Amino acid sequence: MRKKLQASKRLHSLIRNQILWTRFGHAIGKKVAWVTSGAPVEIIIANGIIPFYPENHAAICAARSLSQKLCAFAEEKGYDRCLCSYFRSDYGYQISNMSPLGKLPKPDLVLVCNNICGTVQNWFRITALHYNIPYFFVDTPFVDNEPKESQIEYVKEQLLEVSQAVSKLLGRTFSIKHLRTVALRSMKTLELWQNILAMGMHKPAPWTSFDAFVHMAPIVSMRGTRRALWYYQGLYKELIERAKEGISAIEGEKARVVWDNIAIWPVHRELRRFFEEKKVALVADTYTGAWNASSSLVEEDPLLGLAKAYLDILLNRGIDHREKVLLRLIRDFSADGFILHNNRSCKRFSIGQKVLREKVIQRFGVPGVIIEADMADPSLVSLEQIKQRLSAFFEMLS
Amino acid sequence: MTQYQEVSDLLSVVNKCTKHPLAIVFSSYFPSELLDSFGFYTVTLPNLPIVDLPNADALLESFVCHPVRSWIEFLLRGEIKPALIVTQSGCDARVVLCAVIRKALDNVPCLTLSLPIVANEEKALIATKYALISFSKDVETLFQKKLDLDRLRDAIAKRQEIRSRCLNVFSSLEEYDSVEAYKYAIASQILPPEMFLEQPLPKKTANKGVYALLSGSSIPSIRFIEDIESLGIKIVMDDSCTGARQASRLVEDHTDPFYALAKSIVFRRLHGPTMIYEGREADVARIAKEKCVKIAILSIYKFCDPHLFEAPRLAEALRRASIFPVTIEVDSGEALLERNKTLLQTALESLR
Repeated sequence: MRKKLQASKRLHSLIRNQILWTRFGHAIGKKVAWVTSGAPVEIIIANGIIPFYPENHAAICAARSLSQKLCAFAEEKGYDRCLCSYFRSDYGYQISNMSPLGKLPKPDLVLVCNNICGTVQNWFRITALHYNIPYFFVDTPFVDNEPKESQIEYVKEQLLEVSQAVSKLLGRTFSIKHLRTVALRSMKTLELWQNILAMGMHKPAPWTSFDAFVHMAPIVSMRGTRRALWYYQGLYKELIERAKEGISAIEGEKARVVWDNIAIWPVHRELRRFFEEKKVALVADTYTGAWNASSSLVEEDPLLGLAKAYLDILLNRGIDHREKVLLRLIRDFSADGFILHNNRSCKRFSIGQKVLREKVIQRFGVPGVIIEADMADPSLVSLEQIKQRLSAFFEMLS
Repeated sequence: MTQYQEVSDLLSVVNKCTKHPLAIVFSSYFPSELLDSFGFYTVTLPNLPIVDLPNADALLESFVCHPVRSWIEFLLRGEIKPALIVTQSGCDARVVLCAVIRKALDNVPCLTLSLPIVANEEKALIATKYALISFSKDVETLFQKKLDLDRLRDAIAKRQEIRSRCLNVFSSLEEYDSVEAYKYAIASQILPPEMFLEQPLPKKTANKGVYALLSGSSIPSIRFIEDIESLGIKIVMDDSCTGARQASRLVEDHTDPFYALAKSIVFRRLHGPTMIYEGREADVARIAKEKCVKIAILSIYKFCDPHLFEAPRLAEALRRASIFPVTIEVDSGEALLERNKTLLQTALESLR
């Protein structure tokens, strides 16, 4: 029997409070911003605005079996099924107001950064037009090799401009000091999160990526806040204890694997159980550790630190970089194999995975398997097929 | 004039021009003059109506649009010998292409030009300028060749002349034979500049058919245009990567050629949907209205996100301008699919 993380209870109350905070934000005189997961949310937090993450919301809708209905609303409005299921779910929500979280407030602004994909710039523009609200955009050009000085400078200039514009919208004066405080806290939380993810290196692993997929919620939606830092301090402590006591996330851990891409939310629980049955620990993934933080740089120059951090997001880098990341995870987490979730909805994450798989196998000799599914649209997920494919793969690993 | 009709035509054209090393470009937005000035014969690939894509399918996921898969297939067939392959950021499929090409053709260098996507902004212009400089430095390093600014200016002038001629044709498309016009546009991206400038203008014809706008990525094939016009439609306005979008890039005279090139990209007169540009749908609808367009054909490749995202809003803007939008999905087929023919015929009937 899996020993549950004690932090899970705190996580639930943290998220519940965040939802309440969002729902009643307007009543307490706060503005609400809809933000992409890769956007520099520090600007939002520093201005006292409540961030809300439609990507997280779409994942919750998928886990609560609401996505198919929501996607259908978007498709009726002419948005093709080939488009991202997070977008279709969210747009479906915008039209229908159907949500497992109850009635959410109308956003006051959107903050978008294209460092995670080309979808979000269109998605949030549609949102801004739907609600008739301001659209703030930070353009992060794709980094094929290493980030170039001119690219960093370009992002830095935009961060300043967006920070000033958001402050102006609230009738405030932009304060670099305030931004530094929030950015520093954010980077420290990210560094702590990296340490937490590294706990999967322990044998047996005290937690798995199935836990990380869920416990990443505060790092996505609350980074820069005191409560996120507090929460992760507690989680880290608990994981250290578990590692010391030899408490394993998977009883009788037989094999260790690494995951590439977003979780398959519609069957998240079922897959987790399946891994437990097979005694395979999902020890690391490329999804939850997508950020690259440097608190020392932020302390020195917050805009420069944030520019580098947000330009250097995993999905804004080429396949060669992702190959290095995957190799590092396989090596550092002593993985026996890797799983590439070929996610129909996330083209940025998924296109090139065939090449990525071959490269990693050639370079490292570790087996890898591709499973086809979707992060949110249940009509594109076949649990049985995934299980069959993974069963054969796990058989090979053992 | 070069009669590009099929892949074999493209092959014969490219393989005849052996004077300079061949550079293959995967985006009609890429400033070819940059590679011309290094002495390359620069070919921007159109969509290639290839149906069977076994080589590309082995490397790329099934949800990659046809143009991208057809380009990879074409390269992997090995019937042309490029010295350099260039991709450009713009959509989620194109950003990973370089790695795919490097894996498949490890003896051919591949570079990516990564650009901002914000239109009409000074900051983006400066970032674009530095991206172009950085790209040309990569070419210098790779080929041990110094960029000659005078040659760049000369190349810019030639390519501008080419685009101006194309733009003239596409600005008054109602006067021209559309099939000839699209062949002309494709030729402008395939032929060496000197050879193209010797080509006569497309034939002019009397107007016939219901006036239409063709919007979308690169056109699937010349046959596709022939099929549309055979239904009694006359394309009088183009908003595609093959036609007006690429032709509308204007490089002005400037002491700094990189600044001029960057400005032509960021301050383009007709941006595609990959750029952040607020007024695009309204602009397209306004121009279509001015051109007395009755029907708008939104031709979209399966899995082409930028156009798929735009389609509902563009259709809405066109409807508001009393223009009938018809969204058709195109894939690998060279000809206009039967279901699309039916859609267009129905639209035409409802206009009568």
